[in-house]
Amino acid sequence: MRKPEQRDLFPGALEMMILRTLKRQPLHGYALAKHIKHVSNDLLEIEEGSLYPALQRLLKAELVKAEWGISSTNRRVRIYKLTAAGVKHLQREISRFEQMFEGITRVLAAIKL
Amino acid sequence: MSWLTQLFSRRRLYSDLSAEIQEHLDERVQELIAEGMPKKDAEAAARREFGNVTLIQEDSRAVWRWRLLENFAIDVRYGLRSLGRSPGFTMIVVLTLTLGIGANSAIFSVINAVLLRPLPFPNASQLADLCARSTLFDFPHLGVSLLDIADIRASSTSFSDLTPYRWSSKEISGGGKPEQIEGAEISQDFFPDLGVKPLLGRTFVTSDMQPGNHVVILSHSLWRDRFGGDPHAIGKTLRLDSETYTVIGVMPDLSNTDFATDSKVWTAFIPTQEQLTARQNRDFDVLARLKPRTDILQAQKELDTIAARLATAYPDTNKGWSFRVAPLGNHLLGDARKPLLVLFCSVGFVLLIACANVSNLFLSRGWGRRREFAIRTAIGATRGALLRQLAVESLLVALMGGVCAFFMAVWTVRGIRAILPGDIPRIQDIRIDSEVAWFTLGASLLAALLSGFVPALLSSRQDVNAAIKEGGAGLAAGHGHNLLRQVLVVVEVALAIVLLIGATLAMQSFARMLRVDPGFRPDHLITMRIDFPKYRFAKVEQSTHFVQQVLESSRGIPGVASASAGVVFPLGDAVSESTFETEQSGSEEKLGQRMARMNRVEPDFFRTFGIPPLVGRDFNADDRKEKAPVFIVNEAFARKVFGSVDVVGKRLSALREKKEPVWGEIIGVAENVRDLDPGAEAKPEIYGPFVQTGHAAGVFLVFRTKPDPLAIVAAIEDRIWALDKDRPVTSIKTGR
Repeated sequence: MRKPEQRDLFPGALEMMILRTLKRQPLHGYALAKHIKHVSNDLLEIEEGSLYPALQRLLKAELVKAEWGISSTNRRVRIYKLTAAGVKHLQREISRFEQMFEGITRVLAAIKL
Repeated sequence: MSWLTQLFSRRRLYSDLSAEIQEHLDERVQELIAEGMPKKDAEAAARREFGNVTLIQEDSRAVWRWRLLENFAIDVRYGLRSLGRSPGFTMIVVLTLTLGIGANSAIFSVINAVLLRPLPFPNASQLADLCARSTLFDFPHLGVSLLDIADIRASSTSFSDLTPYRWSSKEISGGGKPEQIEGAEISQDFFPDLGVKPLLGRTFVTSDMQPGNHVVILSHSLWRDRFGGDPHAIGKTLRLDSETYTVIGVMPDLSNTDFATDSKVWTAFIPTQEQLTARQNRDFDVLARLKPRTDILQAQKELDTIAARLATAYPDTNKGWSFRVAPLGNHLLGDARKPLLVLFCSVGFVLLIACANVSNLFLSRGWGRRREFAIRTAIGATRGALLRQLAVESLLVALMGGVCAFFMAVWTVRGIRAILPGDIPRIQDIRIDSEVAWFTLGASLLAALLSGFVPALLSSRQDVNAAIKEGGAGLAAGHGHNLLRQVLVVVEVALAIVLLIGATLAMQSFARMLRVDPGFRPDHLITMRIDFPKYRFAKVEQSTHFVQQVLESSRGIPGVASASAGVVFPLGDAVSESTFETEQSGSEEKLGQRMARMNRVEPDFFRTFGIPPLVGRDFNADDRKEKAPVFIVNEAFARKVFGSVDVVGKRLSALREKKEPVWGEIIGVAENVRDLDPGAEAKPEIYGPFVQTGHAAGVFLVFRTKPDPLAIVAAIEDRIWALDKDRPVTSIKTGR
């Protein structure tokens, strides 16, 4: 039997982080993984591999597109780019996330009192 | 991405993915080596950080799959393999379901053709039959008078049209044997109301509806038989009832519906003065077309109001009379409806029994497979997956059964047509078509559900440990299992008993029919019918004289022991009723309101049929028309009316002249002759001499022969044709 998956804090979080990162600049898988690890200050335990199913889901939903190209380190890599639909989706997800986060924060604050 | 391009690009998607993941690992390894790690350690570290490569690839690919469909395909493959491993089980189950579903498909093909498929006319649901009923006569379907039709037409809002028509058989002569054919007299609205257009020529128009206008419309079959399908048949002539008719139209091949459209010829309906003015002249069938979106119940309510009004306005003719309207299809089916539905229910029970049996087999099989299920559960199959697997297996066998059943239905449909009574309308239309195929599919799915649901639920409920240990622990789990099997057996037996009772009842009535004493000796009998159309037998004496001539002439044929004739054939499907009075009935009962069956017979009728006389004498040549009436009554009549069989000499009247009963004497009592319905009580019946009859539309001739009656038929026909070469002889039957 498989281990319970631990890639996500909540469903869609990983996808949101990918989209946010790709919005800044198109990247290939390895660079993407490295970037998310680095930025999150290694606080989030993300298996590098878990990026790939997430990327496939985004591809299927046509929120990102992928093209083979050459990286800055001169490797043949598949570079992911945000689509227009991806940009919209990201905005929506972020605002939803912020609402949720605010809600959770308030509840937690209330309990502290 | 559309699902189609997705299907074809999937391979590329997968290879891109593998390449990408490989690149990812390579890049990480390069980086680690650059940081100074040995190559071997670097590779291990890269993999560790990445996670389970195979699993991640699989998860990534899964994104692109139609999970349900592909799982289903896997289940089907697995199911087929698993069924293939136990061919005995599979064969029995498929065979059971084939019989259950096949019986239903076959009967459904009948129901579909006869009950469900609309009549072959446009907007057939608006077509209806209008008839009359009376408290005086025990007939469900009586004709309507033209005046009543006119009144309904004037005040009803439900019908867009009412068209009177009447069956009228015709004698066709000239060229070969004289023949009697079915015909109908119709108005110019008949075919337009039905929505049927002629194949050649035209249908009737107003100018055809004049006396002396001998025009005729041919049926497709008569056109083919008599005119060889000649495309120029319009304008040619035909001899009908000794008159020359001009063909004005040919109708297309209309399917056999037992309706006036089954006629061979249609002639113009030209009402007589009497029909136009007499309300008691209820001679007509009526084809009605309901207005669109009119409910037939609403039409019936309206008719009730009209009938009540007419009864008040014309009490002499309309008191006790009402109208009935029924969808044309239902009317045509008549009594055939109920047995078909009973048959359909019975085969439904058969399918239920088959399902219960299959259910039981699946249960045993599930019990035998509990180790397999336990192992699958242990390695990660969910209960849903097991359920799905079992459901797929039931579905597979049910579909296999369905396919076999469909072929079984194709194979048996001809036999069914032969078994069912031939007078069910549209029985020739029974065929296996797409509707039967859909029904079979539906029945198969239902069978899968009924037979697979419970066993699947039960078999997938697993105590993994107990099952894997495979010890005596099985007993505990088997408790619910056994209970269910017992319930199934009870259900099966209950269903079987229902079927058995039904079958026994059917057998009993069949046996009764075989056992019944018809009241006469059917062996060595010849019966045949000749008709007396008005064009040839305008006066009653002509027909009585003709019958006497025929009988006299036939008595001379060697082998004929006795010969007679009667208006109504015993055990036939036609009956004739008459009002009668006795001196006892007198004033306290409404005069002329008592009804009994009436037959007019020639002397020797009882001896020829072999009906034993009880007391009194038979009619003889001395009972002439101008003399006072004489009667023979049957035992049932004597007992019912007089309370004893000792009634010879009592006075009876079956006719009124100038409102006064014409009294006659009972001269004999005969034994009862049975009714067509063998279970029914014998009906009271009066016999009178044929010479004392009014006009009769035709007679049955009956001959008792010494040798095989078949050998004599031709000789009798020759004697008849020697007297009238254009006289058709119909309904020839012989009993040996």
